[in-house]
Amino acid sequence: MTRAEAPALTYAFAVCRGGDLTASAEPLAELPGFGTGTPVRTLAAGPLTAVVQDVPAAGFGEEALRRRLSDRAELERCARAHHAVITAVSALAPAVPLPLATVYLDDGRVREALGERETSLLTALDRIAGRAEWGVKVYAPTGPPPAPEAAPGDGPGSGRAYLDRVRTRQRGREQRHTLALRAAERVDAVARGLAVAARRLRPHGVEVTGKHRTHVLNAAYLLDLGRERELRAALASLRRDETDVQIELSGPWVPYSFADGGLVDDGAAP
Amino acid sequence: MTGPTRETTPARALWEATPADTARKEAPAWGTTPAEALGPLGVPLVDLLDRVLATGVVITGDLVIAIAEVPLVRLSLHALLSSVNERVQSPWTDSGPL
Repeated sequence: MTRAEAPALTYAFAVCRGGDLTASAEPLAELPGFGTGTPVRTLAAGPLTAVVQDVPAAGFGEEALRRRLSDRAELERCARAHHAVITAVSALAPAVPLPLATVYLDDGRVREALGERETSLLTALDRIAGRAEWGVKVYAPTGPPPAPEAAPGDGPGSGRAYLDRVRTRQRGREQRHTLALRAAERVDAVARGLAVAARRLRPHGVEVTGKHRTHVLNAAYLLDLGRERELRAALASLRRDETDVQIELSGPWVPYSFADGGLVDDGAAP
Repeated sequence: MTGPTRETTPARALWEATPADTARKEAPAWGTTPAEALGPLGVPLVDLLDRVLATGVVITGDLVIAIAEVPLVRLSLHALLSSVNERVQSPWTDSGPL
């Protein structure tokens, strides 16, 4: 593959332990990555190996990236392309995923960056090896509006009745919220019990969930491979018990949420 | 594919089998429009963004630093997903007008 004439940047997807990847890296060359026509390749840096791709500065420079990632369709395309490479790498060797749009000026800068963080990257690789991330989300249905106890046409003098209705509705809503939060804590406790690490992500807002439900728990758990069956069983049991909430599971994910420690919550504190 | 019960898929098997194939299928050709089968903000996309963007940054690229002190994430998501944004203090955003 000839190098493009245009100035290229180095886009970094993931970091592996050097020895883990060198033997089996051929499948990576088949990956489209960002579809820039250059192969996804490995880049050795001491005991580590980065998985990178040359990308044109014109499309991945500061301005271009900013524009691109501000466009929803482009953001999705980037995120999926990024994720696809990371998923493929992870199938070959334990890999620390790097955040979307991690771009370096050249290979040398990648090596420097890896060198600076060698210890923490090696620690992260140890932590995620043989493990996968699972996402658990808990939603509280916002429920139907309280029954129309006061039918329309109350006529004059219904101001007080109206206020009562408002208060009752408000109280009901608060109660449901409290119940849902408690249920979410119970779900979290059970999942944590099975995990080697847990992390709270920010719950999604109404723009994502829709008005019919509220996101009360967005958590990620790092599980030893093979324990997902237990997690599924535990969630199935929780679904039977916790009728106030909806519980969703996603995974296995490459341990994105545990690449940097993952032992501390950084999302919504309860 | 979409929907709340994505745990039925033998995702693990898929993940482990022929990574290049899987990845090729998942990665749309650059510049083409991917099938928008997941809705305006498909749930799986949101889950993915939670991870590829909000993930703890182990390492920072030159350009990410150059763009702003805040990760690129914030810039783009600010416009797109106020969902994963610090402004959303409370998960209870539904207490709108009565």
